[in-house]
Amino acid sequence: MINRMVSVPTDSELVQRVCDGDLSALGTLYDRYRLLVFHTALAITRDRQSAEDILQECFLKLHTYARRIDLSLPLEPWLYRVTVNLAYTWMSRRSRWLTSIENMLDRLVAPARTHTEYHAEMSELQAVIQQAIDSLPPNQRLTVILYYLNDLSLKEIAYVLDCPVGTVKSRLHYGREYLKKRLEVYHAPTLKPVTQSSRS
Amino acid sequence: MARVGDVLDNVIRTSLREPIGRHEPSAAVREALMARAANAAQSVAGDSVPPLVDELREEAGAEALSWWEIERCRQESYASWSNPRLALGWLDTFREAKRCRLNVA
Repeated sequence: MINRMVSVPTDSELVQRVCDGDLSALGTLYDRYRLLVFHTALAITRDRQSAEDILQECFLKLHTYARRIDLSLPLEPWLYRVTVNLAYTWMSRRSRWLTSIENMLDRLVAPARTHTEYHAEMSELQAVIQQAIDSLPPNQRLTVILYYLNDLSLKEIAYVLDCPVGTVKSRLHYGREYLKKRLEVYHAPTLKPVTQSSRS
Repeated sequence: MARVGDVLDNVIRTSLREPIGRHEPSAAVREALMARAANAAQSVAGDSVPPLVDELREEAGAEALSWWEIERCRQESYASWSNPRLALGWLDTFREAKRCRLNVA
């Protein structure tokens, strides 16, 4: 058994220190959760600069509203909630014409196929799924991302999106069905069950 | 034998995670965040002259530079940043610096 000589401060201790004006605590929280926030924002926006803006704004909100955070609750759901709200605002502001132009540009500058057939296929499959997720209505898109990317439970997603669990189930169901249809059109064999024997 | 639903879930999960997982935010984000948080903290504390503004004032006194010259230097320094929008925090500082200058004058 390893005895830890240096105790790692908990999230609530760090938030308390932020409340007391300790900026290094904000830096520690940023280092701890930057990837969680950044990856979620990137999955929603598909735009690196916007994701970085959301990341910065999210932790700035943490700094500003630290006193309002309930220290008895885990910090992660709060961060998800702020990230999703910021990303939702980003999605709302994005006008239709801009979306079409960006989608067209995305297709034009999409990463080139890699050398092996496997990677080329995976890259194409990823692109198909990404495009399918992008075309989902915002609420289904957020639900799908929180469920598949962040591994949040239905209850956690309900908290983050501020809606009943039943609504999350429904959004996930419709989102998943839509993705399934898009994938079937793309490549039906991809969805065939893989058994141990067929792998060898 | 794996169920079709499980395979679909795995395909979606992997396809979402793999491309995203390769990316990391640039170091400039942390830098800008800390600068903005420091500015905000100073404002809340009632100090009308944030440290960065003090620095600008000292620079102006020592080098006899105009505020616009200092601002231009600063803008050139962050023009090379990967994300120009992060410079918004700095712009706030410049506005504050100019306001302080007017107060001093």
